[in-house]
Amino acid sequence: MIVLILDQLGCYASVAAASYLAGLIDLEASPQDIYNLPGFAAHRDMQVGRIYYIGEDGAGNAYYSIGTGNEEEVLLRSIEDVAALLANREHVLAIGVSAYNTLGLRLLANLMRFSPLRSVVGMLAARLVKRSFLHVADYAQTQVYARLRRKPDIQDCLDAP
Amino acid sequence: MKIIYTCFGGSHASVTAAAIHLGLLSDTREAGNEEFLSLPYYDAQVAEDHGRLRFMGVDSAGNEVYVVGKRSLDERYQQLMPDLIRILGGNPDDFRFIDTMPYVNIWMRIGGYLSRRLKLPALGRNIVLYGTRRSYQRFIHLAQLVKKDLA
Repeated sequence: MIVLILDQLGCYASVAAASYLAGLIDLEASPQDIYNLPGFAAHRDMQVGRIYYIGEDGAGNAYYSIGTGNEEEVLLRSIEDVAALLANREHVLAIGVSAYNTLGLRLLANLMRFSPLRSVVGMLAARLVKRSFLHVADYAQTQVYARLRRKPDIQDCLDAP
Repeated sequence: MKIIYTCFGGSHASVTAAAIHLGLLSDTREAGNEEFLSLPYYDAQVAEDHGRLRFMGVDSAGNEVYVVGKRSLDERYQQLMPDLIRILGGNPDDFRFIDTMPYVNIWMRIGGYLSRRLKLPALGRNIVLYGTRRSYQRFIHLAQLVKKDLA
Protein backbone atom coordinates (compact mmCIF):
# COMPACT_ATOMS: atom_id res chain seq x y z
CA MET A 1 0.00 0.00 0.00
CA ILE A 2 1.09 3.58 -0.66
CA VAL A 3 0.48 5.89 2.26
CA LEU A 4 0.59 9.64 1.59
CA ILE A 5 0.64 11.86 4.66
CA LEU A 6 -0.17 15.51 4.07
CA ASP A 7 0.54 18.67 6.02
CA GLN A 8 1.37 22.28 5.18
CA LEU A 9 4.96 21.73 4.02
CA GLY A 10 5.36 17.97 4.20
CA CYS A 11 8.16 18.43 6.71
CA TYR A 12 6.75 18.35 10.25
CA ALA A 13 3.82 16.32 11.64
CA SER A 14 3.60 14.40 8.36
CA VAL A 15 7.25 13.34 8.57
CA ALA A 16 6.91 12.31 12.21
CA ALA A 17 3.77 10.27 11.51
CA ALA A 18 5.17 8.66 8.36
CA SER A 19 8.45 7.84 10.11
CA TYR A 20 6.61 6.22 13.00
CA LEU A 21 4.53 4.11 10.63
CA ALA A 22 7.63 3.19 8.62
CA GLY A 23 9.34 2.08 11.81
CA LEU A 24 12.09 4.70 11.74
CA ILE A 25 11.16 5.93 15.24
CA ASP A 26 9.05 4.61 18.10
CA LEU A 27 6.70 6.37 20.51
CA GLU A 28 9.57 7.12 22.88
CA ALA A 29 11.41 9.16 20.22
CA SER A 30 13.16 12.22 21.60
CA PRO A 31 13.09 15.65 19.91
CA GLN A 32 16.63 14.90 18.71
CA ASP A 33 15.42 11.66 17.07
CA ILE A 34 12.63 13.61 15.36
CA TYR A 35 15.05 16.33 14.25
CA ASN A 36 17.31 13.68 12.69
CA LEU A 37 14.51 12.16 10.60
CA PRO A 38 14.97 12.31 6.83
CA GLY A 39 12.78 15.08 5.50
CA PHE A 40 12.18 16.74 8.86
CA ALA A 41 12.33 20.56 8.49
CA ALA A 42 13.93 19.93 5.10
CA HIS A 43 12.37 22.90 3.34
CA ARG A 44 14.41 26.00 2.51
CA ASP A 45 11.43 28.10 1.45
CA MET A 46 7.68 28.03 1.95
CA GLN A 47 7.04 26.27 -1.36
CA VAL A 48 4.24 23.71 -1.13
CA GLY A 49 3.70 20.75 -3.42
CA ARG A 50 6.88 18.85 -2.62
CA ILE A 51 6.83 15.10 -2.03
CA TYR A 52 9.28 13.39 0.34
CA TYR A 53 9.88 9.67 0.40
CA ILE A 54 10.09 8.63 4.05
CA GLY A 55 10.49 4.88 3.99
CA GLU A 56 8.89 1.48 3.87
CA ASP A 57 7.64 -0.74 6.68
CA GLY A 58 8.13 -4.48 7.06
CA ALA A 59 4.86 -5.20 5.25
CA GLY A 60 6.01 -3.35 2.15
CA ASN A 61 3.87 -0.25 2.66
CA ALA A 62 5.62 2.85 1.30
CA TYR A 63 5.28 6.17 3.11
CA TYR A 64 5.51 9.65 1.63
CA SER A 65 4.91 13.11 3.04
CA ILE A 66 3.45 15.91 0.93
CA GLY A 67 3.25 19.66 1.47
CA THR A 68 -0.15 21.03 0.58
CA GLY A 69 -0.21 24.54 2.05
CA ASN A 70 -3.72 25.34 3.22
CA GLU A 71 -5.32 23.07 0.63
CA GLU A 72 -5.07 19.71 2.34
CA GLU A 73 -8.71 18.82 1.69
CA VAL A 74 -8.41 19.70 -2.00
CA LEU A 75 -5.45 17.41 -2.45
CA LEU A 76 -6.98 14.59 -0.41
CA ARG A 77 -9.93 14.57 -2.82
CA SER A 78 -7.70 14.75 -5.90
CA ILE A 79 -5.53 11.88 -4.67
CA GLU A 80 -8.63 9.78 -4.06
CA ASP A 81 -9.99 10.52 -7.54
CA VAL A 82 -6.67 9.99 -9.34
CA ALA A 83 -6.22 6.69 -7.51
CA ALA A 84 -9.72 5.71 -8.64
CA LEU A 85 -8.87 6.63 -12.24
CA LEU A 86 -5.77 4.46 -11.99
CA ALA A 87 -7.90 1.64 -10.53
CA ASN A 88 -5.53 1.70 -7.57
CA ARG A 89 -7.85 3.06 -4.91
CA GLU A 90 -7.52 0.03 -2.62
CA HIS A 91 -3.76 0.41 -2.46
CA VAL A 92 -3.58 4.13 -1.75
CA LEU A 93 -4.28 5.89 1.52
CA ALA A 94 -4.00 9.66 1.97
CA ILE A 95 -4.06 11.10 5.46
CA GLY A 96 -4.15 14.78 6.39
CA VAL A 97 -2.32 15.78 9.58
CA SER A 98 -2.07 19.57 9.10
CA ALA A 99 -4.14 20.14 12.23
CA TYR A 100 -1.33 18.67 14.35
CA ASN A 101 1.08 21.43 13.29
CA THR A 102 0.43 24.16 15.83
CA LEU A 103 0.32 27.85 14.97
CA GLY A 104 3.66 28.29 16.75
CA LEU A 105 5.21 25.58 14.62
CA ARG A 106 3.86 27.12 11.44
CA LEU A 107 5.26 30.50 12.39
CA LEU A 108 8.57 28.90 13.28
CA ALA A 109 8.69 27.18 9.88
CA ASN A 110 8.99 30.62 8.29
CA LEU A 111 12.37 31.06 9.96
CA MET A 112 13.79 27.99 8.19
CA ARG A 113 14.42 30.25 5.22
CA PHE A 114 17.28 31.89 7.08
CA SER A 115 20.31 29.60 6.88
CA PRO A 116 22.03 30.63 10.15
CA LEU A 117 18.88 29.81 12.10
CA ARG A 118 18.13 26.47 10.50
CA SER A 119 19.58 24.13 13.12
CA VAL A 120 18.16 26.06 16.10
CA VAL A 121 14.75 26.46 14.50
CA GLY A 122 14.78 22.80 13.45
CA MET A 123 15.43 21.69 17.04
CA LEU A 124 12.66 23.95 18.37
CA ALA A 125 10.32 22.61 15.72
CA ALA A 126 11.22 19.04 16.73
CA ARG A 127 10.30 19.87 20.33
CA LEU A 128 6.92 21.22 19.21
CA VAL A 129 6.27 18.16 17.05
CA LYS A 130 7.21 15.91 19.95
CA ARG A 131 4.39 17.48 22.02
CA SER A 132 1.73 16.27 19.62
CA PHE A 133 3.63 13.21 18.43
CA LEU A 134 1.55 10.63 20.35
CA HIS A 135 -1.66 12.05 18.95
CA VAL A 136 -0.52 12.33 15.36
CA ALA A 137 1.01 8.85 15.50
CA ASP A 138 -2.25 7.50 16.91
CA TYR A 139 -4.33 9.23 14.27
CA ALA A 140 -2.15 8.06 11.39
CA GLN A 141 -1.89 4.53 12.70
CA THR A 142 -5.65 4.33 13.23
CA GLN A 143 -6.22 5.44 9.63
CA VAL A 144 -3.79 2.85 8.28
CA TYR A 145 -5.12 0.06 10.47
CA ALA A 146 -8.70 0.93 9.60
CA ARG A 147 -7.77 0.31 5.99
CA LEU A 148 -5.94 -2.88 6.90
CA ARG A 149 -8.73 -3.85 9.35
CA ARG A 150 -6.32 -4.22 12.28
CA LYS A 151 -6.44 -2.92 15.84
CA PRO A 152 -3.91 -0.12 16.45
CA ASP A 153 -1.44 -1.24 19.11
CA ILE A 154 -0.69 2.38 20.04
CA GLN A 155 -4.14 2.57 21.67
CA ASP A 156 -2.90 0.63 24.70
CA CYS A 157 -0.14 3.17 25.15
CA LEU A 158 -2.54 6.14 24.96
CA ASP A 159 -5.03 4.52 27.33
CA ALA A 160 -2.36 3.90 29.93
CA PRO A 161 -2.52 6.25 32.96
CA MET B 1 -5.33 10.14 -22.51
CA LYS B 2 -7.08 12.03 -19.74
CA ILE B 3 -7.33 15.79 -20.23
CA ILE B 4 -7.92 17.70 -17.02
CA TYR B 5 -8.82 21.38 -17.23
CA THR B 6 -8.08 23.19 -13.99
CA CYS B 7 -9.17 26.49 -12.50
CA PHE B 8 -9.76 27.92 -9.02
CA GLY B 9 -13.17 26.43 -8.26
CA GLY B 10 -13.82 24.10 -11.19
CA SER B 11 -17.02 25.99 -11.94
CA HIS B 12 -16.45 28.45 -14.77
CA ALA B 13 -13.18 28.68 -16.70
CA SER B 14 -12.32 24.98 -16.68
CA VAL B 15 -15.91 23.98 -17.47
CA THR B 16 -16.08 26.45 -20.38
CA ALA B 17 -12.75 25.33 -21.88
CA ALA B 18 -13.65 21.65 -21.43
CA ALA B 19 -17.08 22.20 -23.01
CA ILE B 20 -15.51 23.88 -26.06
CA HIS B 21 -13.00 21.03 -26.28
CA LEU B 22 -15.84 18.49 -26.24
CA GLY B 23 -18.02 20.40 -28.70
CA LEU B 24 -20.68 21.10 -26.06
CA LEU B 25 -20.14 24.78 -26.81
CA SER B 26 -19.53 26.20 -30.26
CA ASP B 27 -15.98 27.12 -31.26
CA THR B 28 -17.16 29.33 -34.11
CA ARG B 29 -19.54 31.70 -32.36
CA GLU B 30 -19.97 33.07 -28.85
CA ALA B 31 -22.19 30.91 -26.65
CA GLY B 32 -25.28 32.38 -24.97
CA ASN B 33 -26.09 32.47 -21.28
CA GLU B 34 -28.52 29.55 -21.50
CA GLU B 35 -25.87 27.39 -23.15
CA PHE B 36 -23.41 28.10 -20.33
CA LEU B 37 -25.97 27.41 -17.64
CA SER B 38 -26.98 24.12 -19.24
CA LEU B 39 -23.42 22.79 -18.94
CA PRO B 40 -22.76 20.23 -16.21
CA TYR B 41 -20.99 21.84 -13.22
CA TYR B 42 -21.16 25.40 -14.61
CA ASP B 43 -21.56 27.75 -11.62
CA ALA B 44 -22.54 24.74 -9.56
CA GLN B 45 -19.53 23.47 -7.62
CA VAL B 46 -19.09 24.34 -3.95
CA ALA B 47 -16.07 24.25 -1.63
CA GLU B 48 -16.61 20.56 -0.82
CA ASP B 49 -16.21 19.76 -4.53
CA HIS B 50 -12.82 21.44 -4.89
CA GLY B 51 -10.18 18.87 -5.74
CA ARG B 52 -12.72 16.41 -7.16
CA LEU B 53 -12.07 15.38 -10.75
CA ARG B 54 -15.38 15.86 -12.55
CA PHE B 55 -15.93 13.93 -15.75
CA MET B 56 -17.20 16.12 -18.58
CA GLY B 57 -17.15 13.70 -21.52
CA VAL B 58 -15.09 11.96 -24.18
CA ASP B 59 -13.75 13.97 -27.11
CA SER B 60 -13.71 12.94 -30.76
CA ALA B 61 -10.22 11.41 -30.37
CA GLY B 62 -11.35 9.22 -27.46
CA ASN B 63 -9.72 11.31 -24.73
CA GLU B 64 -11.55 11.60 -21.43
CA VAL B 65 -12.06 15.21 -20.38
CA TYR B 66 -12.33 16.27 -16.74
CA VAL B 67 -12.46 19.52 -14.78
CA VAL B 68 -11.07 20.20 -11.32
CA GLY B 69 -10.91 23.13 -8.91
CA LYS B 70 -7.44 23.42 -7.42
CA ARG B 71 -8.01 26.52 -5.25
CA SER B 72 -4.85 28.35 -4.28
CA LEU B 73 -2.54 25.47 -5.22
CA ASP B 74 -2.33 27.16 -8.62
CA GLU B 75 0.54 26.00 -10.84
CA ARG B 76 1.87 23.84 -8.01
CA TYR B 77 -1.08 21.52 -8.64
CA GLN B 78 0.17 20.82 -12.16
CA GLN B 79 3.71 20.33 -10.85
CA LEU B 80 2.62 17.97 -8.09
CA MET B 81 0.15 15.74 -9.91
CA PRO B 82 2.57 14.05 -12.38
CA ASP B 83 4.78 13.01 -9.45
CA LEU B 84 1.75 11.78 -7.53
CA ILE B 85 0.51 9.82 -10.53
CA ARG B 86 3.92 8.17 -10.85
CA ILE B 87 3.92 7.24 -7.14
CA LEU B 88 0.39 5.86 -7.43
CA GLY B 89 1.55 3.54 -10.19
CA GLY B 90 0.28 5.44 -13.21
CA ASN B 91 1.97 6.95 -16.23
CA PRO B 92 2.03 10.77 -16.04
CA ASP B 93 2.11 10.88 -19.84
CA ASP B 94 -1.45 9.55 -19.85
CA PHE B 95 -2.63 12.71 -18.11
CA ARG B 96 -2.57 16.29 -19.33
CA PHE B 97 -3.33 19.09 -16.90
CA ILE B 98 -4.40 22.33 -18.54
CA ASP B 99 -4.37 25.53 -16.50
CA THR B 100 -7.19 27.89 -17.50
CA MET B 101 -6.43 30.56 -14.90
CA PRO B 102 -4.49 32.84 -17.30
CA TYR B 103 -7.74 33.20 -19.27
CA VAL B 104 -9.82 34.26 -16.29
CA ASN B 105 -10.69 37.96 -16.25
CA ILE B 106 -11.66 40.22 -13.35
CA TRP B 107 -15.39 39.81 -14.07
CA MET B 108 -15.14 36.05 -13.76
CA ARG B 109 -13.27 36.44 -10.48
CA ILE B 110 -15.79 38.88 -9.00
CA GLY B 111 -18.82 36.98 -10.29
CA GLY B 112 -17.40 33.63 -9.23
CA TYR B 113 -16.63 34.94 -5.76
CA LEU B 114 -20.12 36.37 -5.31
CA SER B 115 -21.89 33.34 -6.71
CA ARG B 116 -19.84 30.51 -5.23
CA ARG B 117 -18.11 31.85 -2.13
CA LEU B 118 -20.72 34.31 -0.89
CA LYS B 119 -23.57 32.17 -2.22
CA LEU B 120 -25.17 35.09 -4.03
CA PRO B 121 -25.86 33.54 -7.45
CA ALA B 122 -28.56 36.05 -8.26
CA LEU B 123 -25.89 38.74 -8.11
CA GLY B 124 -22.77 36.88 -9.18
CA ARG B 125 -24.06 34.66 -11.96
CA ASN B 126 -24.74 37.44 -14.45
CA ILE B 127 -21.33 38.96 -13.76
CA VAL B 128 -19.53 35.65 -14.24
CA LEU B 129 -21.51 34.98 -17.41
CA TYR B 130 -20.51 38.39 -18.74
CA GLY B 131 -16.89 37.63 -17.87
CA THR B 132 -17.03 34.20 -19.49
CA ARG B 133 -18.39 35.71 -22.71
CA ARG B 134 -15.64 38.36 -22.63
CA SER B 135 -12.96 35.64 -22.48
CA TYR B 136 -14.77 33.22 -24.75
CA GLN B 137 -12.45 33.65 -27.73
CA ARG B 138 -9.51 32.94 -25.46
CA PHE B 139 -11.09 29.71 -24.24
CA ILE B 140 -11.69 28.70 -27.87
CA HIS B 141 -8.04 29.40 -28.59
CA LEU B 142 -6.95 27.34 -25.57
CA ALA B 143 -9.15 24.35 -26.46
CA GLN B 144 -7.87 24.46 -30.05
CA LEU B 145 -4.26 24.59 -28.84
CA VAL B 146 -4.86 21.58 -26.60
CA LYS B 147 -6.50 19.59 -29.39
CA LYS B 148 -3.74 20.54 -31.83
CA ASP B 149 -1.12 19.52 -29.31
CA LEU B 150 -2.80 16.14 -28.82
CA ALA B 151 -3.17 15.42 -32.54
